[in-house]
Amino acid sequence: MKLPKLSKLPKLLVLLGKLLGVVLVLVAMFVAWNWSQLSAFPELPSSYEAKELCSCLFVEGRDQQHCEGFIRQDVVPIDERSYDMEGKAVSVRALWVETRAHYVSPRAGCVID
Amino acid sequence: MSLIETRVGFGFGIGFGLGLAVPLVVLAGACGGASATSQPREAIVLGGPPPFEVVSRTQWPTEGWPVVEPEEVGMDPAAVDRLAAYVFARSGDDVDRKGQRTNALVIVKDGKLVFERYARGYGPDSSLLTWSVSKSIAGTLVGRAVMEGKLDVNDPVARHYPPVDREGVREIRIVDLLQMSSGLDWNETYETSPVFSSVMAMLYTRGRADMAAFVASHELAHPPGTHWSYSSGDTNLMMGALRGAVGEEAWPDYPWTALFDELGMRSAVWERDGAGTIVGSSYLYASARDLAKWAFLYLSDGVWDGKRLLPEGWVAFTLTMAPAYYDTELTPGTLDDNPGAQVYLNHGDPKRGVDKPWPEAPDDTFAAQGHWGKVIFVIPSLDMIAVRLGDDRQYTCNRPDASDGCEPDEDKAYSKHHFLELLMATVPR
Repeated sequence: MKLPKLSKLPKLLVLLGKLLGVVLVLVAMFVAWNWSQLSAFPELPSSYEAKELCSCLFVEGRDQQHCEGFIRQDVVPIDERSYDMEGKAVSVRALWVETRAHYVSPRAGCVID
Repeated sequence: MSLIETRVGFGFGIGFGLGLAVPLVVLAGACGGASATSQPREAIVLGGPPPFEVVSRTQWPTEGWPVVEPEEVGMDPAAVDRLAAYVFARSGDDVDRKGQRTNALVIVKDGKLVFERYARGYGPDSSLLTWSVSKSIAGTLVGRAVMEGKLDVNDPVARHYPPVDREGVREIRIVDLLQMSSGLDWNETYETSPVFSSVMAMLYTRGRADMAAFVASHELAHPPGTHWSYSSGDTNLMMGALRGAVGEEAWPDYPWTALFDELGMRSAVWERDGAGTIVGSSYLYASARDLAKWAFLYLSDGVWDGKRLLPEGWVAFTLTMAPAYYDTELTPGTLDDNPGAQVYLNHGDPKRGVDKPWPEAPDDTFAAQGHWGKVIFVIPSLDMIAVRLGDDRQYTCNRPDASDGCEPDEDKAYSKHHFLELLMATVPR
């Protein structure tokens, strides 16, 4: 039985390190290249839900159960939905971002705050 | 390269990667935009009759549709029942959201309402989400502004919306936006690619404060007027220009004073972005009955109860294929689209061997279409309008861009082909 030569191990590690480094550079380049899209993404689930819930409730005049079924997306978990039925507004928290949408008027419906 | 490898080997990957990538992005931005054509393009001259025979009317649905039985307008009631049975058959529940999810169906023939039914808690007075059906009505608003002399389709967008007054982009004309041929670099995807979707960004994140400005900040991917690409961005930039043309005072109520009040579309709600610009691409809510009135205006060549609302030739222009479409590479996703000016047509492209998108329907059929199964079909040769509003999350496999999750059985999910087939069967010919 022969053990691998000790002198070869660091070379393997260096190679692995280099490979990892290249992958990291590629990932970082991807992130930098697409930064404006990627950085905006976390607010998408909460603003989508807040706006569409608001319109479903106060423009279409449907109930909460129907509206939650309508806006449900199975990609990003939602932390919290809160409803202000008197003030006609909806807040949604997801991916650490909270977004609120409110009802403006019978003609203008809802808008994200 | 050896420098990079050495440094990342020591764990500076991210910092160095960013340092390298940022200049690359700047470089790409500088080189990426297409140079715009500076050659003058042919001006659109509005005029002429629409490509169908206009029926003269004695009754107008401003205060409500006259209601008749299908047989009174020569329709086969049994075939109407078969159509209704298809449209309102459910194969899934509200949790799985599969199958056909029809909210409303309204059929108008010879200017009379012959059928209406609602489901899933909606009714005749409900204002329903229309998604991209909004675009066709947004196009009508531009037609109204042209009629009132506030705008010309040949105008550069920059004349009414100064943020586009910059190199290249200033070549975009109103007609390019109407025909979705602005050439702006735009990614029109929805749920399938939420991170890189320009639409999602416009409606919900980076663009929501001012959608026209967001669109205007994009660079050209093609010279304006040379490449057709379905774009909600083009419609909302058009809304920015319309706002400029109409003026701030008239703007908030413009859709009502210019159109909805004239047609009696009392159910209409049109949401705005953070800057107060109407979201022409997506956020009109209206009843199915009121949406049929929009179609009726087009069947009447833009004249409503004796008053011309749209310029002569506007309907003909709207129903003309966007010229850039013929020069645009077809993909599975766009094969099914025959773009007019913010409406869909049924022409096909015989020169490239492309069939009509709706072979079941007459050639003069046109439509306003929206995401998740929303549609207004207009069939001038049959004097017929069908408004079907749904919330379909699953499509049948007969779409050219059908994906893995499509439903092979068209009885189990809405198929516009099957719908049109059944609709045609209601009118014995």
